[in-house]
Amino acid sequence: MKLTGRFETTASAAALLSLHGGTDALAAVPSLSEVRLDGSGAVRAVFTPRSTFVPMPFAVKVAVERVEPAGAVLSVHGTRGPTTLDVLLRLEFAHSGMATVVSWAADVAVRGPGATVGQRVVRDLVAAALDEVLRDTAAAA
Amino acid sequence: MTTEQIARTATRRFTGKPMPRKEDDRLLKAQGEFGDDTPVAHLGYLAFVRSPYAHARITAIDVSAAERVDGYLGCLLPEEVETLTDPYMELQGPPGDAEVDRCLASGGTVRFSGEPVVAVAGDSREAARDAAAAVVVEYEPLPHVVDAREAVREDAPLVHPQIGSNIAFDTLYDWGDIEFALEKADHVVEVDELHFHRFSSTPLECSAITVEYDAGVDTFTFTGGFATPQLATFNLAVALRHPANKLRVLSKDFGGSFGVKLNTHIPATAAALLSRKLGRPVRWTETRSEQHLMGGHGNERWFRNVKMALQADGTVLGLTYDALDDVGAYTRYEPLGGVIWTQVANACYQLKHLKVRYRSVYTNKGPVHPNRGYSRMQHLWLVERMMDIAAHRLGFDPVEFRLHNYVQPDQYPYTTVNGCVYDSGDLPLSLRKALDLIDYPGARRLQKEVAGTGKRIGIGIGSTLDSGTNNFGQARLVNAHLPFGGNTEGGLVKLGADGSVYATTGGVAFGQGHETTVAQVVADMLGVGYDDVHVQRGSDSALSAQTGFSGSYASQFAVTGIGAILNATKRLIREISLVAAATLGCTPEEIELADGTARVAGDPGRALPLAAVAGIVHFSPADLPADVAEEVGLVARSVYRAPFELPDLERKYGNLTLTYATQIHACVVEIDEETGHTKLLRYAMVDDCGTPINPMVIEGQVHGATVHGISAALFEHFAYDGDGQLAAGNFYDYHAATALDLPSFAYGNVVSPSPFTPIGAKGMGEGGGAPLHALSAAIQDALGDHGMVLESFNPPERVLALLRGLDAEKVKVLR
Repeated sequence: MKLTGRFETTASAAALLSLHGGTDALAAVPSLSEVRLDGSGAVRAVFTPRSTFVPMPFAVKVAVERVEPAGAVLSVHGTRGPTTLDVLLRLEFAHSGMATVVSWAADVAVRGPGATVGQRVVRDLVAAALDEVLRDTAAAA
Repeated sequence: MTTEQIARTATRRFTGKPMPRKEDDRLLKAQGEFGDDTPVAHLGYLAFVRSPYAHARITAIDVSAAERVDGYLGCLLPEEVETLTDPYMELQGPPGDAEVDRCLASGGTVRFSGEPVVAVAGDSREAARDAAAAVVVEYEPLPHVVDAREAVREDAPLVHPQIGSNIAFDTLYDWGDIEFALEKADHVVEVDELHFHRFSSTPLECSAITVEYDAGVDTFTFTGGFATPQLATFNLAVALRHPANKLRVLSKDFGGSFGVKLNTHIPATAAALLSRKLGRPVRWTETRSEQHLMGGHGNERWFRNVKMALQADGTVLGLTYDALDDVGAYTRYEPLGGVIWTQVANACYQLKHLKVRYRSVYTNKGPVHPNRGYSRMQHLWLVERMMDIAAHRLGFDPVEFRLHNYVQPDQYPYTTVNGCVYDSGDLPLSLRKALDLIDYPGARRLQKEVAGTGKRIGIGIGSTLDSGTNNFGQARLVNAHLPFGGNTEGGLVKLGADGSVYATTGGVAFGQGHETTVAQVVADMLGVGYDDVHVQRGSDSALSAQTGFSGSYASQFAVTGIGAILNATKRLIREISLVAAATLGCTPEEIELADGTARVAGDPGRALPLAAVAGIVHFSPADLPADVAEEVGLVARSVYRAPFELPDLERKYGNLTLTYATQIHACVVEIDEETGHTKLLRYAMVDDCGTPINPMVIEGQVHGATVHGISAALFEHFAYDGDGQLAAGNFYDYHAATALDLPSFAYGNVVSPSPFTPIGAKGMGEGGGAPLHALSAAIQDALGDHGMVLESFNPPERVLALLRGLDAEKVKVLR
């Protein structure tokens, strides 16, 4: 499924891009815990979205596929028991006055019970979770 | 013979009467004991970690987080299963027998979404689930295939690479001369492709298995819903490399199966391994979503290149098609479906020629299990669709067309193109009754009245067969080396020390009312009251009542189960007569049983209560002549052996099943042109299952089969998306019909006793899927020739497409 969103942040595009390669700022994101870099340079963390009815921690691996002057492409793989989430996330940063407009577009594949049982709500949940973690991350930048 | 059978049952006090079901009192009070109900001390709970991928290589399994979950007891990994077990037996021959099937994903590969990968145990259900959720499995996705038509292509991803293709079974059936018929026939109707969709029986009770390993005697005890306890024992023994005599399979109440619980041994293997590893009993209680993912889907089948040959007077000569049967990722009970369908090769009609290429095809979807109407329903739907399509396209009246082509009452016993013998029936009478029940002329008038109002009326007929009591020799048509032939069932009837009557059947009840029907026939034969017969609930593989084929499947209990009980009761009567004769001073032949006594015929004053007979045998055998005392134990065990021979493997010819219950359904539907919604206005079913043992039980089962069939036709679909994800993992997305979806049914019956069975009864519980046929026909009738109903599943969105002419081009009248 394809999802899109947009929000404004006070962080500059440069600050947002500087998140790449470090874990300190990410560790401050409320929904992320156990943040670390693995041997391949990908970020590993436990992501517990606030938008779910009960806590649903996902083990996630975030790899930077491409960095551009005004954006980035990330691949995200998340697992929670038999449910997996694969996201190809395109981020675009546009300067707007004192703020940066972050536009995101995600190509999402959900597999397992999340797809089978949760199909009626998964779209909204994933969209909310992505929006939430991206806003929080931008705020931490 | 037929008249005698009717007279015999008519004089019975209980047999043939609508006796209240013995089971219902406890079941309606929620006092049944199902798989998850039995308290067990020190119990561990099992949860499976399942694959989210349709096809993937397992690259890593990390259980460290699970180990930190409170209540975690341990786990079972695929490599342990590879080491500790052997693969389950495969029914197919080479090359399909190279398939490796185990209780956890084998060979480091998952082959369908939902396949178990790790089994995790906790000291509570919640702990097990939390620990399972904490297990991290890493996968490398592999190309997958979810459509059988793509799976047979040369370049398709292989579900089991070692087999070399996705075809588990490939055979050609060719009876008669369809090429000649197609060449000479007045008319030939051709359809490019029809599709029978994937659904299941979704039992009320999902599987629940408790395994207790007793290290002291190295014995496993399995309690749960095993529909074939002895075959399950064999499968478990092979998989666990454990002696069969150290395995015991028990069940108490269990809530539904219709075939899907024939493969309970697979998750039971994992529970057994964990029980032994942890040194405590382990229970797995399947969730509804798990049941939907792999509890056993019905066979999905594509029919391609279908051609029907007909004469100008409407006589159907024959049929040919190619079948692709989508069995999912593992064959399990398959490819038996590849021959089971031939039990009903002729469907209800006098076909002379039939040619079918049949292939069982692997896909990356949940495995199919036998399911209500197993494999026959698909072919029956196809034939009935083709009858309907031919009538529409060639302008025959759908009623007269069927009446003309039905097997006629005076043709029974009727031998089909492949040597099966239809035992009895009266299809024309059944159809007329069904049409009366829906007021067919009135429905036709209504159809005209509503034309142009935005609604359409459709009238449909579904003619079907429920073949019962399998000849297991048909398995040799799949694999000539399989050691199966014929069929038996066991029964045990005894007098307890106080004269109480006990009956035990080898059959396994999952709602059919076995306790009731067994009590009816035993009470009649022994001359005791219905409530005086105590029928054992559930089953126990350690009891001598069971034979290798024991269990409940293939619509057979009324024949095999009751047959065995009848034979056992006859044996017990002989023993009672010996004791009574010795005591009363007459010959055993002079003894009759009535009113709870054994008495001298014609001299009712000389009588012994059965309690006295039992008392003499159990407590005072010295009162009996030695030869009687040594012969009589008042425990009678017998088998019923169905009268089968092995089929001719060369010609694929022979009698594959003993009885053929018929069901003719008729319905009237209203279709909303704006929404595509199909509303059932009238629904009638006429059943003919021979001599009834309990008409109320029969009518209940007909109602159940009807609801399931209607639900399958309109609501139930195990659809997969292109990624191999099941789109109906719960009852929210997979709607099983409730009373709110249905009209009141009109029921009628015809009684054509079977000449081949002990009391003229026929198996009938599966029902044969008549509602699928009837609803497809009704929707077609509402459409006219505009769109063509070539799918068995017709939800509103499909009906809307049909109203716009869907699939009309796929049907051609070649001449």
